[in-house]
Formats: sequence, C-alpha cells, structure tokens
Amino acid sequence: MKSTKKILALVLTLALVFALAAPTASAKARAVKIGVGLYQDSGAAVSGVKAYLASLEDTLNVKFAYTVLSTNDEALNVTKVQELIAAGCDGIIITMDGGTEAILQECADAGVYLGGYLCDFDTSFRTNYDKVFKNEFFVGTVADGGCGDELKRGYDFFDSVIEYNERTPDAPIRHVAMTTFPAFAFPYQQNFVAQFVEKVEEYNAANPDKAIEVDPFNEETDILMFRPMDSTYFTKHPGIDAIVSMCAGSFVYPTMVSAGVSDTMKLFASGYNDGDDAIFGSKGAYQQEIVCANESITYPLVLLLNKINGVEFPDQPAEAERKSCSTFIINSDEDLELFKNSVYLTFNGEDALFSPEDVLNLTAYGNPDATYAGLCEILDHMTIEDLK
Amino acid sequence: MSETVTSQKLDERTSFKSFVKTHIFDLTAYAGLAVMLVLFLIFNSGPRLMYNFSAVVQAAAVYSILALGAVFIYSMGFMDVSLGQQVGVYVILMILIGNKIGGPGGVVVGFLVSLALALACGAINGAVSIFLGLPSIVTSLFLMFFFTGAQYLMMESTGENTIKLIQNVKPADRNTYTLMLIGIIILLAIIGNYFFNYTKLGKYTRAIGANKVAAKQSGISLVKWQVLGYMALGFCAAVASFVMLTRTGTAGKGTGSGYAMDIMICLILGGMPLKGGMKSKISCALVGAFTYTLLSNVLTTMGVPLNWVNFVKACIFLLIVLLTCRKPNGVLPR
Amino acid sequence: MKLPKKIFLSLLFPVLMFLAMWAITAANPACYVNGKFIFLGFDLVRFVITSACQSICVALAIWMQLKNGRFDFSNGAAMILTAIIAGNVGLKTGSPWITMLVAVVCGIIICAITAAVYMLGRLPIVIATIGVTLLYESLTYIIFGGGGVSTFYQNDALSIFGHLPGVLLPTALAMCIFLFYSNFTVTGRKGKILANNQAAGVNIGIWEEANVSQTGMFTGAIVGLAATIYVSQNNVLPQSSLSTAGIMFSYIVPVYMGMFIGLASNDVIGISIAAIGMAIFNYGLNCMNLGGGGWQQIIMGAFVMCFYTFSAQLNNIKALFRKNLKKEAAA
Repeated sequence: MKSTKKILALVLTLALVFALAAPTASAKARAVKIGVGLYQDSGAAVSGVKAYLASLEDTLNVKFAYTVLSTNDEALNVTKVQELIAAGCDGIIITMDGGTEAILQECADAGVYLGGYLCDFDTSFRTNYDKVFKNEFFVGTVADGGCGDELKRGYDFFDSVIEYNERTPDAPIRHVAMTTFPAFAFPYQQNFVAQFVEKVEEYNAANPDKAIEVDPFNEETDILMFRPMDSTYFTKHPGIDAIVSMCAGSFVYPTMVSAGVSDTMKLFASGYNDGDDAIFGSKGAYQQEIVCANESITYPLVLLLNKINGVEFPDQPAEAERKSCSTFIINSDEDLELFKNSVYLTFNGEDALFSPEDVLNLTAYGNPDATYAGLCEILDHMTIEDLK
Repeated sequence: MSETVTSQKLDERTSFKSFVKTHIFDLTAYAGLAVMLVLFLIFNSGPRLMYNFSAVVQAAAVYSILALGAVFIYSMGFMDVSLGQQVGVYVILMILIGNKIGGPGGVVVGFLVSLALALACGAINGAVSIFLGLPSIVTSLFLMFFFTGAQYLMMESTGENTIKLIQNVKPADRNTYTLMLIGIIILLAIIGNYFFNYTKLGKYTRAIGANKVAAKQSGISLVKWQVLGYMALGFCAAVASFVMLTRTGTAGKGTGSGYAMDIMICLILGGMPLKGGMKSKISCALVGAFTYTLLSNVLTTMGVPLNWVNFVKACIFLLIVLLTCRKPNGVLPR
Repeated sequence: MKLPKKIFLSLLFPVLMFLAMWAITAANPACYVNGKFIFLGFDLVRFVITSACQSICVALAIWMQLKNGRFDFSNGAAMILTAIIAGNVGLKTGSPWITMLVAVVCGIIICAITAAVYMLGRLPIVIATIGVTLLYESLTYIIFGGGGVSTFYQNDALSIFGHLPGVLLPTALAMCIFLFYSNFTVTGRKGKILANNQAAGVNIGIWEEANVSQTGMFTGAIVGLAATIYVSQNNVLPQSSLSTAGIMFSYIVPVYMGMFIGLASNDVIGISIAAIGMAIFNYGLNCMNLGGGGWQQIIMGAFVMCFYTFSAQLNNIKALFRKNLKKEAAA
C-alpha cells in the first residue's frame, strides 16, 4: 500500500512536470493575443469561428485563446475573463452581457481592451450606458442581427412564410402559432411577434383569399422557459400548419418529433444546429433558419487590433457603438446549398467571406486609408446573396 | 553516549515517521496546494503576476467562505445541494432591497434580510429532517427546488435578464479590494477554527458524524447541534453572497448555480472525509478552495486546449483523492 | 398481504394523482382550448409513457446501487457518455438495434470502470463516483469532436426507442434485468445485507468485491438502455462541472417514492408506479401552463417534501388515527 502511494505521488509529479513542457516563447516577435469568450463550447458555430480566426493568425500576427462564458452566472464570466487576462491576452471579445461592468473594470486594471460579438449588450445599453459604452477600454460590439429598433426579425419570418407558400401552392401554410423566450431575457422577441402579426394583417387585407390565421400569442402557453417546448403546445394550438419560433429551433423540434408532427408541420426558427440540413426545406420540417456569419467577429477584432497597436480610424466615433449585422436567412434548398459552402459549415478559412489580407486592409495600422465607415460597411454584406 | 545519541536519533526518526503516517492525508492535500502554487508562480511570472494573484483571491473567496461553513455540516456526514441556489437568491434579495432603500444603508438592510433568511433556512434544514424523520438530502432537495423556483420568479418580476446594484460596494482600488477579501477570509477562518476546534459546536458536529447513535446516547442533542451546524453554513452563505455581490454588482437567474457541487469538490480536494467524523478539519475548506481555484487558473494560463481542460482537471482530481482518501484496509469504504 | 390488496395499494398513487390532476385541470380555464378539455387525450398517454419510461430506466439504475448501500453519482454522466457513443455509432450504421446494443455494451464497460475505480482505489463511494463523473463528463468534450450527438433524435427510423411503442422495449428490458439481478443472482439477493450492515455482511461471507463488480455491470446494462431512450428523445450535448449530477437528481424522486410505494409489491413496480404518477403530475402542470419556470420548481419541491414526510410519518399518522378512533369509541 505504501508503494502504491509512492507510485501515485510519482505519477502526479511526472504529470505536472510534463505539463510544464508547454510551448515556450518562440524567437519570433510576440504575437498579439486575443481572448474569445464563446457562448457555447461545441458545435458548428464554434468550429466555424475558430477556423476563421485561425486563418487570420499568420497575416495579422495574432494568437487566439478561447474560453466559454456562462449565460447566467456573472461571477463565472468575470473569472473567465480574468483567466484570459492572466493568460496574456491583449484584447478580449465576449459574447455575453453578464457582469460587463465588472469585466470592464478588470480589463481597465490590466490595460486590456474588450469588444463584443453576437451580442447587442442590450442590458448594458439601456441601464448602464455610461459605464460600458463610454468606457475607453470598450471598443464596441456587433449584434447577432439587428440592435434595438433595427431588429425586424418578425418581418423576416413573414417573408419566409410567404416565400414558402409561393413555392408550394398546393400545400400553403394557412394557420400558424408562435413561441418566444421570456421577455425578461429576450425583450425584443415580443417585438418580433408584433411585427409578424402586423405583416400578416396587412397581407390578409390585401389577399383575403390567401389569408393566414395566426393564433393569438398567449403569454402563458407560448413562452418557453429555457427548456424544450412541452407537448401540450400542440393540443393548445390545434390545426396549425407551422410554428414560427422566435427562439432557437432546438427548443421546438425535439417536441415536434416526439409528438409525431415533424412530418406534417413546418418550423420557422432562429439559429442553426448541426445536422439541420438533413431536415431542412424539401427534406423536412425546418423552412427557415437565421444565422449570423462567423465573419462578423471581424468588427470587434479590427477595433481591438487598432487599439492594441495604438492607432485609430480618422472617422472613429467618440464612444463605442453597438452595430447591427446582416444575417444569413436560409429559407430554401438553394439558400442551404450556398450556406453549406460557408466557413460556418466547412470549417475552412478559405471559404470565409474575407481573406486575411482583406481583414488586414480593414485595420488602421495595416492600411492608412482604412476608415470606420469601411469597417461598418462589411456588416451589411454578410447575407446569403454574398455567398454566391 | 553513542548509544544514547543513536537511540535519540532513532526516536526522532520514528516520531517523524509516525507523524507523517498519521497525517499523510493532510500532508498530501497541502502538497497538492503547494504544487498548484508552484505552477501558478511558474506560469505567471512578470507584470501580470499580481493581477492574477488578485484574480485568484477573488475567485477563491466565495468558495472559501462557503466551504468554511460547509465543513460544519459535512463533518456531520451531511451535504447541502441547495447551496448554489440559496446564494443566488440572497444576492438578488440584496440587490432588490438595496436598490429599493438606496444608499449604503439599503445594502446593509439587504444583507441583514438575507442573513436572517439564510439562518432560517439553516434551521429548517437542520430541524425538519429530524422532526419529520427524513434523510437530510430530502430537505436539501426541497430547498434546492424551492430556491431555484424563487430565483426564476424574482428575476421574472424584475423584467430584466440581470439586475444591478446601484450603490457601489466594491473598493475602487484593486489592491484594497484584494486585501479586504483576504481579511474577510482570514477573519472567518479564525472564527470558524475557534468554533470548530474549541467549542461544543465543532466537537459535537464531529461526534454526530462519527456515530450518531453514540452521540445521542452520550447526551448530545441532535436537533440543537444539527440546527446550529446548518445555521453556521447559512451565515457563511449570506457572507459569501455579499462577497459575490461586491465582485460583479449584478445577479441573474443563474447566479450561484453549480456551487453546491463545486464546494463538495473543494472539500474533497482539501482532504475532508465526506462521512464526517472526528477526522474532519476546518483547514480542508481553505486548502481545497484555493487548490480548486488555482487548478482552473493554471490550466488556462498554461494554454491547455479548451476541450482538454476538464479531462486534465478530472485526472488531477482522481490522483489527488487516490492519495488523500484511499483506505487500504478493511471493508470497502462507504 | 393478499393480491387484490397489493394491486390496490400499488395503483393507489397514480390513480389518486390522475384524479387529483383531472379535478384541478378541469377547474382551470387554461386547460380548455376552443371549449375542448385538453388534459384528457392521447397526448396524456403518449407523454406519460415516454416520460415515465425514461424515468424508470434511470431510477432503476440509481436504485440498484442504492439498494446495496452505495450512492452512485456517476449514473448521469455514464448515461450521457453512453448516449453520445451509441448515438454516433447509430448514425454511422443507420440501425437503432445496433445503437441499443452498443449502448448496453458501453454502459456495462463504463460502469465496470466505475466499479474498478471504487474497488482498486478503495475510495469512499461518493468520492470515487464524483471522480469518475468528472472524468466521463470530460470525455464528452473529447470524443467525436466534442459535438455530442444532435441529429439522432431527428431521424424517425433511428429514434424508434424514444417514442411509442418502441420506448416500451428498453424499459421492459431494464425491468427484466433488474428483476433477474434481484431475484436470481446471489449478489442481488444478498445486496440488502450489505446496505444494512456492511461489516456484518462481509463477516458472514458476502464477497463485496464480487457484489460491486456484478452490480456495476448490471447497472451498466440498465444505464445503456436509459441512454438508448435518452438519445432517441434529446439533443445530447457535452456536459461539465458535475451538471450530470443534476440530471441524476432530477430522476431520483421516483427512487425514493418507489421505495415506499413498493412496500405493497416490489421495488421495480414501486419505481414504475412512482414514475408514472410523477409523469401525470408534470403533464397536469404543463396543461395549466405551470410546466416550466419558477412555479413548477416550487410545486415540485413542495410535493416531494409532502410525499416523503407522509411516507416517513405513516406509522405515526396511523397511530394518531387509531388513538382518535379509540377516543371516539370511548366517548
């Protein structure tokens, strides 16, 4: 037994000693290190953004470090950012607006800059603007789609339903119901509902023979409390042809499958999950998915690199901004085929919308003629059309 | 003369060996902490050392305080799976009350209300299981469900994803804040050590963990000391909640989630016997909390790939427990 | 106890639960859509059976260890890891039967590893199982690119064991394995002695290592069947930070309830009945739009507390009734 303890102690020591054989500093000049705090730790979205960023490393002389943040534990987010700072990051991009003021304080203490990606920082924007958006260490954020009143996702859902009906005149969608996440977590989803209903009413007035019935949004029934939809939804919405889900499809589709309606009912949703291509369009229930391009991370990345290199755009705004970003609205088989060739699913940096040289030319230190307006313009060119 | 010297040396060697043999588990836990400290120093040389040191203190502070309180109930052989949810609710309460009343007074009132609630929950946890004849895990599960629901409902009522305390409670200077946290940890460790090692509270809670029947038959009131043990945890939960609040100033529906399991891991890494009893030590709390925090920190600064971090942590945990918790003789340990 | 009385007592809980939820939902306007009462319907049957089958499998795995005096934290992690492996193999082969076979084999291997760590490591069971839980959770990030398995449940042909009627097969197999273990193996029959007095059990000749390893393998088979149902119903993602312990705790309610309900019959029936009763309860809450969020958690907690209190105090309650009856008779 004593020898067992000795062996174990030796193994532990050896394991830790071997762990010390981490790559040491190379002879090359130290690369800038950017930390990325993602919202999930696996999946196509993660692999895609990592592949895109990896393709930029050599040209931009940047190294990336990754961690995963929590959707609802602010203290953990602060800890994760502290760890990135301790790991030597010069700039950090985060995908959550949780504990942001505390995180910015950490960044300020360490002289590290912070940017946002796939997040509109809505809570900070509405309730803590001065401490976040006016903080010199915050460079700005790009949202997952639109920001605030610019978010018109309800209209996108409506357009997709009409496109579907035009494609399938023999079996159009005439009766839909909706789902959202709770308002306290996703306040703008209630706006989407209103937008969708508004467009349907306009359409019905103009096309009474093709009217679409929308079940009134029920705040008790139609709100998903961050867990999969329960099967009573279908009993409470009898006779629907489709579900318009303002929240991710992965909260709705499993219930459709277990209820046995996935073959007959259609689903219009946000987000894209691994394997959805097998059940999309003509192959299955999914008829719309909305995804923000991985390449939108270029916005905070360029701003961070400018700051780290001590340069600014000539038209740099005085305060950090939150920017809307165009999205891939995938609502046909053709769209899906285009989307499948993007870095989001190929995990190949060469399939990205921007080459490393393009990104370098967007920076103020890589291109003296680069402007902030030019950087913002790329955010309008991340649609399915741009994949053609 | 030489025989005397030889026998003296022999006695010294024998007493040293027996000391090591008796305290092998504690020494191994301390050795684990020492290894983590060494790695921390190796991978944090340079200007970011002090920054990271303060980051470690901030992260470890909440775990340390909770673990100090948890030692009292773990020494009785119990566990509390509702700890994380309790912390979440207390932080939210402090913010809501603090914002309602306003100013530093609001924060104090918020803390006192949370403290009162924490002590009441501790009393319920301790007393109800005995009066109703339930396993302690059942009352703990009930509180876990209750506090999870309460946290959701409270956040829903605010209409926000996260809520922020208007009054600033964190010192502006980073070093002052770090010293404040160290001061709180040391103070609570001294108080905890006193109560655990020099008062009936510690003595009787360990006796209950060692043998409940013998403890009862020797005149120890199970109800009284179980309740006091849980109230000690409640007190620490309230203080830990305040410390967490100073760190972020915000709270949400998931604040504190997972802390119950984290505290269990901290105590195991610190060498705490989960069955409780006379071998329970208050030092397990601090040793384990800092080991756990340093482990997470060191793996990130070493650049271990994200997918492998948990695997390395699991392997190190297993190795440490094999060194500290192994019982080679007798029946299989329970 | 006579058979009719056993049947009556066994079915009492789910019947009472059904009647109670029927009455409550009938009085709730939210349970009427276009004038139609939604609680009663095929949806109830489908939800109760599919939900209960999953609960039964996991609860049996938990109880199998608990019955031998061991609280195993790793069942949740073993189930998730098994589900990821079996699900990915199933996607490659296109066969649900191979999925189930691989799941059972993986479950047995994984639980055997847990047993080996416990026996060879000679660690307290909670510590050993927490250690392997962390290990299994970490493996979910490494195998198959760390992506879990997300498309298995979407495939109707593959996910037959997650829906009616296929879900009944793995559940029935799990129950048969448990019954075989409990009644036809020496380990199973003598396991309770170890739970009541480990030292005495070992002293009278029970070979505890054999008990641990055999129980581990039987538990693994049941975990494999639970994983088959789980991967057929859910998107399975990698887990960390002992989150699978939370999955396990969510299935522990039928275990404790089943111990009490099973007094009238046996533990397998008790657990099954408890799982069915809780599924009816959850369905009723869903109908009343209380199926998610804060109120569901609070109601669940209160219900669990009341049930355990009732079962723990049953003898005192009976004594109180007898006392009152005597008083009335005397008066």
